[in-house]
Amino acid sequence: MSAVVIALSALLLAGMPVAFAFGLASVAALILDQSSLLNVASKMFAGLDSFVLLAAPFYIAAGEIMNRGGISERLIELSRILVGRVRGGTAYATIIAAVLFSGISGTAVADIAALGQIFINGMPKEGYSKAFAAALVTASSVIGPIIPPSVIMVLYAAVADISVLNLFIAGILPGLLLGVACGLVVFFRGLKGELPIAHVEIKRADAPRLIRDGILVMSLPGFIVIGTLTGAFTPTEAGGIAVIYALFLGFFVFRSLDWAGLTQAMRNAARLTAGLFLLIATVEIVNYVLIMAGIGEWTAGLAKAFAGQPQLFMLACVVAFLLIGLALDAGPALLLLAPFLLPVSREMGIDDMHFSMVMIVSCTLGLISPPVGICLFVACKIGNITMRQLWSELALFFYAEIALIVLMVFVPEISTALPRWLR
Amino acid sequence: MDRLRKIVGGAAIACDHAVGWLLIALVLINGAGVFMRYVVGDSLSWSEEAIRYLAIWIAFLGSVAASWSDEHMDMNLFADFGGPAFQAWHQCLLHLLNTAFAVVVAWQGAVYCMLNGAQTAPTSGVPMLYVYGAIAVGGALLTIVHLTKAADALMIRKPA
Repeated sequence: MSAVVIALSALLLAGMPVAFAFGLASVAALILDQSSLLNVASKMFAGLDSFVLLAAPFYIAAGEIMNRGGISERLIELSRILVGRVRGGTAYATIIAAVLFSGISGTAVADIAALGQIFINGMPKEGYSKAFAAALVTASSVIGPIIPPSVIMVLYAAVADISVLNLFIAGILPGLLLGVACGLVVFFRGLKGELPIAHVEIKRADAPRLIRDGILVMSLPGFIVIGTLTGAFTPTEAGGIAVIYALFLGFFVFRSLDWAGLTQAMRNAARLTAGLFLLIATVEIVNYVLIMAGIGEWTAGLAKAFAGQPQLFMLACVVAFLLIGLALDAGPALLLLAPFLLPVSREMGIDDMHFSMVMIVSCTLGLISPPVGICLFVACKIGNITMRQLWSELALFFYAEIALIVLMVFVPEISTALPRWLR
Repeated sequence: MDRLRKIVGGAAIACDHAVGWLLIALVLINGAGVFMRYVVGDSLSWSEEAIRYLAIWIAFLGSVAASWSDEHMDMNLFADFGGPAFQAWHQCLLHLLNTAFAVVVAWQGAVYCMLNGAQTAPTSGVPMLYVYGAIAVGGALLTIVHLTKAADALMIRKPA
């Protein structure tokens, strides 16, 4: 097994795309093991032949369409109205906009791309430093994959074979608490007088229209969760209906979407989906190789080492994912390890939703952990600042979010209360 | 080389357009399935199967488009390392490694088609050759794209 891990690490460090590195390392392992290479095709097919997985392209497409339809601007204006003229008001508005936007986007990169253009370049005009604006948008962007709909949760549910609906519901409270963690940092910075008072320049006459638009947009995640909770449709079907709803809003209500925009959105969504699906397909081959190489013994040893100490086991997993996040987007690692770690957590009596949410939030934080967190690159590019400048302001937000993860480890109800109550 | 780049780039763009349309088809079939169940009171038995299989084509054809536009997730640690010569050889090596995996996918995808292509889908009765074919076709196109990009990386190194 160590040969597979070394080969995989070497290929990833060399800069090979993650999906191709997974695939090539598995092929090498199969050849060394004298196993049939036909497993490459059969496992890739098995990894992709899943109805649950199909929710991912639908949510990505809905987010793309909403984004092209001028939705982000509407949500930002709405969040500014909600906050009003307080110290650090625009900073709070950024967090609220991230929470609202997470209900339609499902990925952190989509959030930072949409909100960053407006807030990172707009906040300095009010007296914020560009580094602070970029750090705030970056820290808030991790809320996107936690509040439903969430693409990483769909992929996780498919590989770990657990309910995607339960994951969606379990994500609501941790997602909101991530917003609170960012809000607390803004609050204390405001108390010190380091942040300016907001200048809300939206006319009162526009408020009813903005609130109506906000309700229309925000009804999408509610519609998905309620529709699936009542059994009206599956999460995958809900995703498809979300796309139709987004099209309806873009074409007929907001009238901001045209045919060219639609086809471009669908192509972007399909390419992004393909990248994720290729990853899932190759993860399936790696999992097969790891099982052949005896990962079962390793997980059994893990269960024995942490016997009777479930919280210590979870903290160790959190640290491992954060360390992986230092060098690699932790998403692929989560998808790779979830099928092996989840049974260990079950053996220790940890609730599936508790373990899954802690792992998903930890891996999502990898998106903003230096030096390779993808959201960091996007924020630096939008704000035209260096990674060092960004990190000097981001560190406090990052530590606040780490503290939330530790809280989630010790208070399982944060992840388990809503699914139990609603189902 | 320019001509080859144009042909391969054209094929990748065609894949990009195709997956966009396939995604639209997915949305329509899914919508039709829900509509039939709730409005007509009858379900489209083949809709779930069709969506699953079309998504497999999206995965492989979309990967070709994503490979052409360098959109696959990577660690990118060497992006600012070394001079142009190092960058060119490094890119060439990465694309050759990608090619190696793509060749295995194309080859084993074709073998898988030959062994199991005569099976039919449980609900729709469609020959599985049309489904498994996505692996072989996708692998072959990925091979061509990455070989072209490997050659391209070395050509860019040379002054015009």
